[in-house]
Formats: sequence, structure tokens, C-alpha cells
Amino acid sequence: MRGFASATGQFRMLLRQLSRSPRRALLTFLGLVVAFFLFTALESVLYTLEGLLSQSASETGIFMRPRSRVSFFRAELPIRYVDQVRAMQGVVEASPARFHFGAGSREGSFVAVVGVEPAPYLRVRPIDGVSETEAQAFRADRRGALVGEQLLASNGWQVGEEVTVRGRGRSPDLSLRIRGDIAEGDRMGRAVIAHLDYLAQVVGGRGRAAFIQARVAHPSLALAIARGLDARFANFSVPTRTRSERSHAAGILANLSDVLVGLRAIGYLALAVTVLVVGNAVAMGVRERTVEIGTLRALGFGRGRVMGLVLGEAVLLALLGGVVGALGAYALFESGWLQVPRMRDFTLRSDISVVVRAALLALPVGALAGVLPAFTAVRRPITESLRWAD
Amino acid sequence: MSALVEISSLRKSYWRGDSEVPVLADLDLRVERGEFVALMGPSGSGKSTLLNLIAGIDQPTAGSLSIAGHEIGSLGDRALDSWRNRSIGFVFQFYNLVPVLSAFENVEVPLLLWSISQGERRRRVEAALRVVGLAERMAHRPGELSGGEQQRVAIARALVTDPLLVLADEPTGDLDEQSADEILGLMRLLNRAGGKTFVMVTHDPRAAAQAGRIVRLEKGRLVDAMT
Repeated sequence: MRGFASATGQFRMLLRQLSRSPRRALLTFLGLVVAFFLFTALESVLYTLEGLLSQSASETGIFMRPRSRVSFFRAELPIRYVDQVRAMQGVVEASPARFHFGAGSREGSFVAVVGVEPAPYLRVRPIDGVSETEAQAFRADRRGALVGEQLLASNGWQVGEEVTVRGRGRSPDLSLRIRGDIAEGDRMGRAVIAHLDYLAQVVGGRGRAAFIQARVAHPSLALAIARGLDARFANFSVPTRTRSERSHAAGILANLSDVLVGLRAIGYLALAVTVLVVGNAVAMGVRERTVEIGTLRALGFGRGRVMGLVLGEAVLLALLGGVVGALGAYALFESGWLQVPRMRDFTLRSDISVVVRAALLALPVGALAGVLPAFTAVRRPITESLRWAD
Repeated sequence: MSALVEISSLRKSYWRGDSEVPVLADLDLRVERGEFVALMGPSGSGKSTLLNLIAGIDQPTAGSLSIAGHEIGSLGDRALDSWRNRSIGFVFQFYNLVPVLSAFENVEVPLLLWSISQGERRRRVEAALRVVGLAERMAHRPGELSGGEQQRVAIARALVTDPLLVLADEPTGDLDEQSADEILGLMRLLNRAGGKTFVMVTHDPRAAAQAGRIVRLEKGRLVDAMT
């Protein structure tokens, strides 16, 4: 309790030091806020991307695409492969799938349509938020569609309504009847699921799929089945590459890795610059307080304690700026206001774990910024500090 | 009874390149408990260096310096910091108060190193400020106080740990005549009524006249001691 009283007294001293030069403290604080805001914003973008990809990975799912793919979205895989995939031992079900991109009811909105074989697809993976009645209606209606809740809300669509996904460029419009809604948390919560044969009839390219998605009986079989399928199609017109959904998601992440590393590097660079800014501000403060530091040392404050005061000041400032900046970015991302241009239905999100990570990083930022000034503060002999004239 | 400060054959030199510059040479001095000693001498005579050595903030080149039986040179850094905190009170020419702390908080600073309760700390600080007549101005920051008041806060800070010895380096050097008289009067009172031992460096003969003994230094040697 007594030690605590002494510690609070020293903490009060530390707080008062920040009020010594309010303008400098404020500018340093704002610099920290901006840097940590930027860092947290970039980390939140990464969090959103990684979340989207990992969310879409199932342990029993496998994912087949052409080995020499030009584009992830192009339909090049013969649909007839599906029967052989289904025939493979250990495969529970398989469905071909292809993409179509268009616009919703609002100008600039973005709608991704995934064409599938309804019955097999719903057996490959259950879809959150789709009741059995809705699934039946979807299966039975060739123009039927299941639409993500987020898309319904942003386009003002409702279940039962007939809607048009307007084609982009020379793509034709696609008329669909909404038969059910997909929960926002589902990986297809931002997409439209439609009948593959209807989609192919409207936009062309019958008999081809962008990928084949399958479910295996047990996660331990996924790798062996994937290898077996690729071996089977190795000498076909379109050889395949099959992976588990998890490794497929990891592969997409790996493709994005340069971008991710770049984003992360920018975030850390911002923090590195902040170390210099805070370090300079603290060093200026220490220099101005040379006599005061000499006095404290004369009064019995040891080197460690004086270093602790200087380091504490830098860490406190960094922590305040870090927490405010990180919370600012978190609030902005979680507000749902941030959307990717031309992809209004893709919302950037953050997470409290990102904020905590940023706030924890404020500790080493402050410590690194304060270590040199702190060392300088105690290196000078007491007698020299007391005689110091700036 | 042994003296509070016992200095024998004390030498202090600085090195300028390869040449040794002596500042204090074979100095012997005793300060008894309850004494008020003024150290006088021209600039560069070694007064402040002697004060720094007694304070334990500088190390002698040779000789012996003991305070209350403790040989200062034998103490390690930590022990010396702790000893200084408990045994020495400092009064500086320019007060050396922390401008962002109130008078109360400035006086409290040396006690932040003590393991005492907040209530005990408050009691000691208030008592010290009452002694110097600033009980009503505890919440004021140094910038809101006159020079004389700031020096009184510094004296309260020097007294709050009830040290064995108060060292004052030109305590009236930055004050007008009236404030200087008040500070000297306060120090004399603390010495005579409170029994505090003072060693004061001064250029001012009027200030030195308040001391019980004047020690003169010239070129690092003791030349004269008057009572």
C-alpha cells in the first residue's frame, strides 16, 4: 500500500511532465493518433480479407479448377467432370459452379452471381439462413435464386420478388426470382446463388464451369481424393488442380501475399516514423529538463528511477495516442461506412483484437522512442546537470 | 563525540587532456553537529566542488570524507542515492523546483522514494511548508510564487526528510536584499532553534555573517576559519 502511494506520486509527476509543453505534447499525441489510426486501418483491411477467405473454408470441402487457369473467374472446366468426381470413392457430393457479375437496383452497386446445380450444391454445403421450404422453392424454380441478406438490404429487394441483375458491359441482364435469403454470416452472404443451366442459357458458355466444389466423407480423405482426381484428369483436355478448401483459401491469401506484405509494411513504417517523432519530442523535453533531472538525482532518484520516469513519459504518450488512434480506426471500420468503390456490398470490418494488438504495439513504440533520451538523461554526471545552462 | 562531517587530506583534481588540474588540495575540515558553516572564497577556489563532495554527488580523487561515521567514498551508487535522499537536504541558488508541480508536490518529491503512507507523506510535507511559512500557498506552482517564496519551498523540500545536514549553494544569490534576509533569517532559525546543521557556499559577506563559522578557501586550500 505504501509502495503504491509512492508509485502513484511518481505517476502523478509523470503526468504533469506531459503538461510542461502542451503544444508539443498535443502535436506528438496527434502524430501518434494518425500513425496508429493508419496502422489499425491497414490491419483491419488485412483482417477483413483474411476473414473472408478463412470463413469460406470447410474442412471436408475440396475445390477443383483448371490447372492452367487464366482467370479465377473464367469458366473453362468441362461440367462433365462432375460425374467422375461424384464417382470417386469418398466423395459425398459435387457441384459445378461459375460466376456472373452485374449490378443491382442502385447505380454503382455490385452483385456477384454464382451459378450452381441446386440440389447437389445444397448437399455439398448447407447455407445459413435458408430454410428447407426456401431450399425446395429454389430447387424447383429454374429462375429461382438465394440472395444474401446484405444484398437484399442494400438493393431494397425482398424474398418472393422478381429482380434483375443488370449486366455489365456487353453482358445481358439476368432476371431472377428470390426464393430465399442467405444469412449475413454465411460466406455467400454477399452473393446470389442461381441455377447454373439458367445462367449458362442467359450469358452463354454451356457445359463449362469455373470450378467444381465437392464434399468428402472425412477431412482426412481430402488430400488423397484431391490427388486422385488430379491424376484422373491429368491427360484430359483440361487438366485439373484440386485442393482442400482450406489450402485453396491459403492459396488465395498467398497470391495476395505481396499486397498484404506491402500493406503491413506501410503500417509498420508509420509506427517506425512515430518512434522517431516521439523520440525527438521526449529528447527535447529531457534536454530542457537537464537541471531538473540533476536535481532529482541529487535528491536521491537513482539512474533506474530517472530512466523509468523518462521511459514512462514516452510509453504513456504512445499508449494514449495508440489507443485513441486504434479506437478511431476501429470505430470507422465498424460503423459500416467504409465500402470498396464499385463494390458497395463489400464492407470493410475490424475487430477488437486488431485494436488490442495496435495498443500493445504502443508499448514498444514508446519504449523505443524513450530509451535513448532516458539513457542520455542519466549518463551526464549530476554536477554537470546542475550546472547546465541551455 | 565525533564531528558530523570529517574531511581529511581531501584532494580533487580534474583532467584536462593529459594535465591534472587540482581543485582541492589536502583539505582538512570538521563540521560539528548543529553548526552553521559558511564556505567563502573567490570563484574557482573550490567551494562548490567541496559542497558537491560533501553531498556525495562527486567523488574525491584522494583523501577521506565521512559524514556521521559513513565513509562516503565506500558507498556504491544505489547506497549513495539512498543515503543522500535520507541524510542531505539541498538548497540551490536558482531553487531548482519542478515548474509543473505545486509547492506541495515539489516538497513531496524526496518522500516519493520512501515507503510511507500517503497520509504520513502529507503530514510531513505540510509540516515542512508550515515551518517556512508557506502553509497557505501549497497549491501554487513555482511560477506563481516570488523568488523568496520559491527558495522557501526549496528549503521546505530540503527539510522534509529531516536530514542530518543541509547544503546550500548560494541560497541568496538570486534574491533581492529583503528576500535574502528572510531566507538567511529562516536558515539561522532552523539552525539555532531546530538544531539543523548547515553548510552554505556564499560570495556574500552579509550572508556569511549569519553563519556561526566562516571557512575561507583559496586555490583549493583552506586559508582561514573564523568563528
